[in-house]
Amino acid sequence: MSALFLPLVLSTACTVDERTLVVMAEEEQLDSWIVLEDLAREFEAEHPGVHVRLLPLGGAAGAQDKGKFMLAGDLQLDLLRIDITELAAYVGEGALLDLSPCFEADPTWDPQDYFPSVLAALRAPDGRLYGLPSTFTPYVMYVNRDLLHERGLEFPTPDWTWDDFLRAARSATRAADGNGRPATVGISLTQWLQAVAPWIWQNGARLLDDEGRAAMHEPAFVEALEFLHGLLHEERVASFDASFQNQLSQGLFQAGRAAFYGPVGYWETYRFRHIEDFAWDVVPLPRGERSATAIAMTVYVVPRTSAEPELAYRFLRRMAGERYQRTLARIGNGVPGLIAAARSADFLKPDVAPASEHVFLDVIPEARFLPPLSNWRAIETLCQAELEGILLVEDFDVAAACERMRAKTQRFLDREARRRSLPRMAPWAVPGTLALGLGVLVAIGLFRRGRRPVAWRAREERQAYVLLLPWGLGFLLFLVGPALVSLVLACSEWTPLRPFADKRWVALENVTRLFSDATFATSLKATAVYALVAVPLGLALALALALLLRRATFGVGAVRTLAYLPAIVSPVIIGALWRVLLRADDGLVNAGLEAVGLTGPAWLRDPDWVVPAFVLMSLWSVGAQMLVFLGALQAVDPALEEAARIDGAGTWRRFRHVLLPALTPVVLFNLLTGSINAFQIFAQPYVMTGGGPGDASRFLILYLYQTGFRHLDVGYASAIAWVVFALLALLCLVLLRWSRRWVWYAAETPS
Amino acid sequence: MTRLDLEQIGCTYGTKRVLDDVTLTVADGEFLVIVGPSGCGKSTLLRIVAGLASATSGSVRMDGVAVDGLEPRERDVAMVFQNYALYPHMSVRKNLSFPLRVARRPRSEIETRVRAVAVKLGLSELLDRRPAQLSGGQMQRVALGRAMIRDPRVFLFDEPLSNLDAQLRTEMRGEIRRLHRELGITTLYVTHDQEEALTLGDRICVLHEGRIQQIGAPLELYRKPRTSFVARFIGTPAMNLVGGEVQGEVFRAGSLELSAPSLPNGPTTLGIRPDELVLGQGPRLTLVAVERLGRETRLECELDARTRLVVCLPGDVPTPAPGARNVGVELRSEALHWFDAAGRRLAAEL
Repeated sequence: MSALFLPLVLSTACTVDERTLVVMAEEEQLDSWIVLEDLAREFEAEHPGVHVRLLPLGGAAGAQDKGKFMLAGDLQLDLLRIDITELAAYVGEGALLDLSPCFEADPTWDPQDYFPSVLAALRAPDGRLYGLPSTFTPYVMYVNRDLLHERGLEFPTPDWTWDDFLRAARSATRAADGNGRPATVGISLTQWLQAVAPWIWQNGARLLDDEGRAAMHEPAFVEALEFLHGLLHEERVASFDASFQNQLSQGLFQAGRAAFYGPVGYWETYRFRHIEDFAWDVVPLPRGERSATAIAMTVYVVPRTSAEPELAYRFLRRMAGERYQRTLARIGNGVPGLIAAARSADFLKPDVAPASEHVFLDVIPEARFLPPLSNWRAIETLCQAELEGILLVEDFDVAAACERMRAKTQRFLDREARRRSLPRMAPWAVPGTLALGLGVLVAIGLFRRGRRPVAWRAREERQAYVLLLPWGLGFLLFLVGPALVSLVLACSEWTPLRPFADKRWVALENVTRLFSDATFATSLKATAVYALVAVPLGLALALALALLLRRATFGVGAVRTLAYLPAIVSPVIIGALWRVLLRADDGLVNAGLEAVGLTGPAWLRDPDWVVPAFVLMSLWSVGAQMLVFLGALQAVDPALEEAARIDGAGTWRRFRHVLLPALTPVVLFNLLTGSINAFQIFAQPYVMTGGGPGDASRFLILYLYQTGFRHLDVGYASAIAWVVFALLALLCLVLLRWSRRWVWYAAETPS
Repeated sequence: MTRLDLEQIGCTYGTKRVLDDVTLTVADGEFLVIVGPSGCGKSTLLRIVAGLASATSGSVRMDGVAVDGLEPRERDVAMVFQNYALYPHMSVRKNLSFPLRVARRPRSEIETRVRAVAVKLGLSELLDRRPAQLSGGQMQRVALGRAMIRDPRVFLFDEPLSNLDAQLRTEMRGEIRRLHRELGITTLYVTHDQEEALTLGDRICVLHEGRIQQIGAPLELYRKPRTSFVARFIGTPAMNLVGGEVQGEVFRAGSLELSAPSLPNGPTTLGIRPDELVLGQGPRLTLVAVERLGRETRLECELDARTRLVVCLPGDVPTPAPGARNVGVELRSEALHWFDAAGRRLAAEL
């Protein structure tokens, strides 16, 4: 494993002589990057001989994975910004340095400088402190002041209730009036777990009970979600817009069509400052049985493997110090963890909207962090699937969904608990497997070679092997090697937060786990359905297009090019394009359907329509298959078709009895490659739905990716990879066997 | 029983005129061969008759009824292709029965007719083979069988023998001839091989650059070619043609002088078949080469730098050695053919 990272290690190690501090704390394209660069230069000036190397956090989903894989690869990393929800995972795996001794030895350290509840979230149960806050944000409600005023509604008071909220939302909801004024809704509702949590807490419910067991089945929990379900499907005063998973739902609010938007954090103010059409502000969330809100935060931590812990601590204090925190506040990153910075004009900004920025500070006492679970993101994914069902589907048994959420979460927690007691994997497992694998390869090679060849042939053979060497090395190093390592991983429990050597042996448990994994079952089913529909339809369409385009008539070249073009476009771009085309309200596809008098489904938001949507998309890219068919069609002797015409065969029979048999080899080729591609569909759902709604489009490879790279369950992901591989191999085998009955090879053609 | 009329067929691809005013009649039960060099338009003509291509002008009639614009199957013609065009994934049985299956004939009838055709063509043992497992001759038979199995009104052959070796070709020629005699179906047969045309056709139509040069019985074409093209094209070795000029009933070509009674003055071509020439009194030639074929002996002689004559003597006869000068060749006047500047036959010797 470390051999694979060798070039990276070397490049890091080559900066000799001076001490280097590697900091990964900001994304490169943001304003804060420039500020951080200033801070680094200043730090270097004060510490001669020290070089601060700034690495950008990866964008979007990658932001939270890059650091982990740097740690897994033994790369130097001294200071890292992580999400608070991941802290428990880092601490649990022993990946972080306990900074308590540094704090205690530091005369300038005063915990009173930071919001107590914020700092508390950074402490382990035993009181150790692992880092300092960057910025945080409690969830609040954004309000369209003008819309409320227009409907004759009062601006909410800080202690408004669910009933107040419901009343206001009802009055704010209007259908389009036909005079060009668009429909308005009470609330544009956010729907991820952290945004839903406040409603749950306000209703007196909880995610985990006092023993740390999943508590989603408790009546108050169900009730809270029924309230939200009711807002959407009974009261019909709430809405989402944009595509469900990857898009924030601020679109409606920004368009002035929602009275409220939330619960959501501070980051939206940064975006909403550009709103000029109406006045807006923020208020605390309406209170239920009690007041509560959620809080999101990023924190700075020092990895245990840091080469410069001392310097890292000093730089960390700078980043959590007043100057940098005020700068972050000024550019709108969030609420600074440092009280002085949060109460300064840099944060409160009296002259810019929202007027009530202090609300973010006011609600801190009632704000709660999500429970410190070691792999929160995995649980979040498990719950999200059910949440989406509850919120999106009108006719949905909320209580049953909550119970499923509890069961899934509890199963996960049980496994997490047991994980700690797993035996360590023998250190020779990886080298042993590699050696065994290579041994088998060599043995096959020798066996196949048989008799020793004569001298000149032997020389020729040696030369051939020398020429094959570059490819052979690449094949061993990048294909066979990793494949064998993943075989070992499939029998282990490992997360990149631990050293690679620290793998736990689970034998075949990862595979048996698949059988009871409802998500895997859904994923397999979705993928199979997709493949089963998309592949034959794609074949038929490609063949039909090829038949249409095979005669050289005027303009046919241009049409062929157009038909092939989508096949060379990156799937990510296709995904981004189709996300727009398939939008439920104003997408081109539904506009087209409407033009012929049909009402299009919500496609990417409807669990029943999301797989058909991907099928539809895949049909758009049949160009490559069409090209193969076209080539094969042109290789068919035209005399055969003429003979059939003379023999009295019409168009269908000529196709069925003459063309189709000649095409069977390429039908098989397209069928095989098409099936493999269909089973490996990844980029489009990754870009378009992230697997949702629910698990409806969580295709196998996407699930694999999320398991391995998001939930960091690398062993399980490897097991999925091998199972998918086995399934595909089996499928290909069956197809090949079956094909003997209908494929006719050109080699049998009379010369 | 069908009579086939082609009336003023013209065909143009872009600016290229492929067929020009082709009019001919194939009588009921007749075997007519269209012969010409490659590119003369003979295959196009056949495809127009079949309905695979359409003529730019003119009309195809079967028993007096115009069939232009009809699909091949509505014309009820059968065709044998140069490369046989057997369906490669079907067995011989399936290939033979394909036209009947397409026509949805009852299974028992199909079975009977396949068996009958197979017996007639000696294919009975091969019915379950695939085309790839057959020899060229066998494939040819299957193609024939597929054409005759449904009793078409007209048989069309598109150079069916050109893919076979010489011996097999002779054999299959006899076979086709025999089948035609037995079935008596009107047949249009296209070939570029004049020998095939001479041996097979009741009548022959020579086509050159899209125009009919001559239609007639084989020997008529051989004996009285209407144009210098037909003269050279029909017969092996090809007829000797000597370009010259007639002045006052005397034909002059280089050193050669011949009396040419009643021929008009002007550029004229003299034609004479190699086998009509004998050694004897006459113009003195230089012997360039001798080819001994056993059955005959071919002498290649040079009159002057411009003019060569091939002399064909029957049997293996003694000849002067190559290089010999003053070899006398007798030009018998009844063996001479005369053509005007445009290549049309002059009636002088008649």
